[in-house]
Amino acid sequence: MVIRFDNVSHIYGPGTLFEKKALSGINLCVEKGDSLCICGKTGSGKTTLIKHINGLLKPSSGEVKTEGFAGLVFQFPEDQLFAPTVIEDVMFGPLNMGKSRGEARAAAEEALARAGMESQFYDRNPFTLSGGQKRLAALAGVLAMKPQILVLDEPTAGLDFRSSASLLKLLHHLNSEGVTVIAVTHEMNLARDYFSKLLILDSGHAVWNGNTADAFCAGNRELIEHAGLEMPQDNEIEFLLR
Amino acid sequence: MRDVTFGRYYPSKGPLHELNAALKLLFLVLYIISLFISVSYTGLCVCIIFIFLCIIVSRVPFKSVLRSFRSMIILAFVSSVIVCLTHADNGALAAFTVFVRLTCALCVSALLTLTTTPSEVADGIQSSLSFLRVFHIPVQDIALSVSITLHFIPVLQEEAEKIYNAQKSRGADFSGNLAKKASSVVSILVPLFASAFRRAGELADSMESRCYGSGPERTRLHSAGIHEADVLASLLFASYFLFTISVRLLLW
Ligand SMILES: Nc1ncnc2c1ncn2[C@@H]1O[C@H](COP(=O)(O)OP(=O)(O)O)[C@@H](O)[C@H]1O
Ligand SMILES: [Mg+2]
Repeated sequence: MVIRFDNVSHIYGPGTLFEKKALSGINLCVEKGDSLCICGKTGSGKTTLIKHINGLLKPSSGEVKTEGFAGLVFQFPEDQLFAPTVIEDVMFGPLNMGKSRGEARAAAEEALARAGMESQFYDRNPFTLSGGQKRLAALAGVLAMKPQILVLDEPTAGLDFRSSASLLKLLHHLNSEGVTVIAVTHEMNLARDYFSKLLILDSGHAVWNGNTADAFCAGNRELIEHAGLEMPQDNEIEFLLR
Repeated sequence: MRDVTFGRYYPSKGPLHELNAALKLLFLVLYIISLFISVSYTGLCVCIIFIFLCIIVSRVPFKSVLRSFRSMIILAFVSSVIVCLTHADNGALAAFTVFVRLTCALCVSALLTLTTTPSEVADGIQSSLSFLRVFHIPVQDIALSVSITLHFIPVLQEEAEKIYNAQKSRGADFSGNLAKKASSVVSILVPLFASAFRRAGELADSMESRCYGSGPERTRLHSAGIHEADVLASLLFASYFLFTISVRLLLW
């Protein structure tokens, strides 16, 4: 088991007027090589939960255990590019891990290739890239650190259909190579099509935690809709015609 | 990062929140003057007691007030130590004076922003400076700039925190040797500036597309007005102010 949450709760701003309980009593077990999707509507605590995985947040009560390095890709990671060239930006992580410049460059090139960016982009200024390319560069920045666990917050938000599809394919590939992949989304179709495990959050409570295949039975409809989500649709157009 | 709460409104609905913002700005200026009038231990202690009472009345927790300028207290402390060492006679009083003046001035400014929303501050500035319009000074535009600046402080704080988390997750080191620290700080500042400029541009576009500045004078949704509480507060403040003056005159 690579990640374990034991009865984890998180309270923001305890003792002030802004006090907010964002997570309550979360239990979670993630095995090596799992692909887990965390679903919930805006404000349900998804981002708070994943920040516990690499220790950015500490639980107010309960315990979190993580084995191996967890790379976090935040929402809109393209806003965090800073270096003068794409390759420099991707090398930032490996350099921080104590790699030499040569090793870091090799890791960066490999990561950029994995993310589907050609070598002509290496020396471009990241601010001149398109939105989708920036996101790939930012993703490469995390992949270059060779994480055993990859956590992504709303990776497809704001991407067009083709870019999302290729991003999801990449995640699938990484997963089949043994990387544990955890993604946050509120699109249930994504959850069903690409992830084997599913965790549904509703106001900080885990209301479903298990196999994706079992999640979308008719009996769970009420639970899913109460959480502010939609049952996955077989075919969007067919659904609209009905 | 979130500890830097300077400029963040704290909605505890105390009596200070209800006061007219222009009046509060006036009190702020007069309070700072009173800090400079006071030169004795007694006088300075009166200033301290007054600001303490204000904080208690405001129902903003001490923790929040202190937290909003925690980093600057160190500055106040360092300057008072320097003053103490450079003053030959009565260095202790000189150091105490510097420390109290700086921290109380910070405290009262923090209290103003904690109990007054940015748009109230802007309206307050506008109404208290409106006489300057005779000299063709664009008071309304200045007030709006102040209000936007105050609005953006928490927004940028949040943005800085997001970027900080992202770079920390990529192993950015904020405590190591100087070279590493410098590159980590750059990794936060560059995206932060980029996003600030982007936001500013977007805001300008959206104001322009709603015809800001082309019509007659803007009107207000909520007008402040003077209420009973404002009169009472003015009386109380006036007695405090006169008291500090008499302490200065009678006790030196
Ligand atoms: N830094 C913070 N301080 C205070 N409250 C926060 C903070 N971050 C998130 N929250 C609150 O915690 C709740 C969960 O937020 P979040 O984990 O970001 O939700 P999600 O990612 O599912 O949209 C929300 O109600 C949000 O307002
Ligand atoms: Mg989120």
